[in-house]
Amino acid sequence: MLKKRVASVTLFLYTGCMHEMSIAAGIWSTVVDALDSGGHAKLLNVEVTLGEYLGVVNESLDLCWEAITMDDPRAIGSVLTLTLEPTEVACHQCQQTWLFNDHRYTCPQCGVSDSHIERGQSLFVNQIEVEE
Amino acid sequence: MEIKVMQNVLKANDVFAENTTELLKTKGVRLFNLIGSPGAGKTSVLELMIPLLKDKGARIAVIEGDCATARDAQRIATLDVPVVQINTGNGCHLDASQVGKVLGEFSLDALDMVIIENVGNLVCPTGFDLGADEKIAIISVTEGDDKPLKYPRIFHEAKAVILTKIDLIPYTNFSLQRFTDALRSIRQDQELFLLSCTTGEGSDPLVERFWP
Ligand SMILES: Nc1nc2c(ncn2[C@@H]2O[C@H](COP(=O)(O)OP(=O)(O)OP(=O)(O)O)[C@@H](O)[C@H]2O)c(=O)[nH]1
Ligand SMILES: [Mg+2]
Ligand SMILES: [Zn+2]
Repeated sequence: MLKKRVASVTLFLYTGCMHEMSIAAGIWSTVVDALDSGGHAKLLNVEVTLGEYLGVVNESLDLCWEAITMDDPRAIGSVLTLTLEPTEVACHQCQQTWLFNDHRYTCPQCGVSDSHIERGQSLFVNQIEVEE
Repeated sequence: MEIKVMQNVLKANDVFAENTTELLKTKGVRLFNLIGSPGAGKTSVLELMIPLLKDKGARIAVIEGDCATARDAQRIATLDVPVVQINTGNGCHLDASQVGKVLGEFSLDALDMVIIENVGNLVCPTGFDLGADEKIAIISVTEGDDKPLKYPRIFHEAKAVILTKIDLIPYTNFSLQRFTDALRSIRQDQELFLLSCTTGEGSDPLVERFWP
């Protein structure tokens, strides 16, 4: 079973950089737990909060989701609904935070480049929608 | 019907990375992840540094990542250290499950450090945690002094940067000042090592850094 899954995924794998596969696999293992524990037969939708800094290409993630769930009939046709969490950088010197949309690591307040990524790397399953 | 899940997801890659970190901690082995463009001089750095580190008593193994061929592993094997080549096909980075598997082939009890030469690429390997103690960026003079600004993420994550091919500075328009300014605008505490693998210039501080 695993072999088949891997083979079908290879095609996508080789079209880009598969952050997305690793992320899809992580989401799926969380969702499977929820499906199992609730005894649900049909998954419709998964609401995910996704950090912008993870650099995910949405189309790739969709393809990977399809590939990773294809062997479980409960998940056929299910989709991911993504909420993007913006990247926020925080200064170690003065605690200022700023959005990373201009790709700056220098603090706009004190001018020092001593920062870490405060937000934007989340991967969180909020809720799933299943058939009643 | 909607069901609240509210769960943090661990990316599949990160599960393997954490296993590696745990394993190497118990074994007392340090793991370095070298990241740089194709041809930046990653293998050359290893060829220069490994004999010097071995002289100091360091017991080293190497993991080579390339799309194809075992050419780099063959170069490293002549230095008489354990080396495993991973070929990724068209894959542009190593992932933590590949590294985890390969670690099983080394006698970790007989090692002090494992050095990974990632697939030549300044972008993608940065996003894949391999469970290493640190990522080290390797960039060559011929790539140009503006590269940290254009590919900043690796330079934000890597505390140490090795600038290779400094013997070529006189033949290019590379400005060490511009390069340093660019690095400092991303991370002011960066440790910069200037190195020529052709002349050996700059190797002493690096040996000290890897094997204090
Ligand atoms: N002049 C000069 N050439 C160097 C130096 N370091 C490496 N080179 C040359 O640069 C070329 C590429 O070096 P490699 O060490 O194979 O580079 P790499 O980063 O391992 O390349 P990939 O594994 O293919 O990504 C070779 O021809 C080296 O001889 C240096 O310090 N000075
Ligand atoms: Mg190489
Ligand atoms: Zn600040």
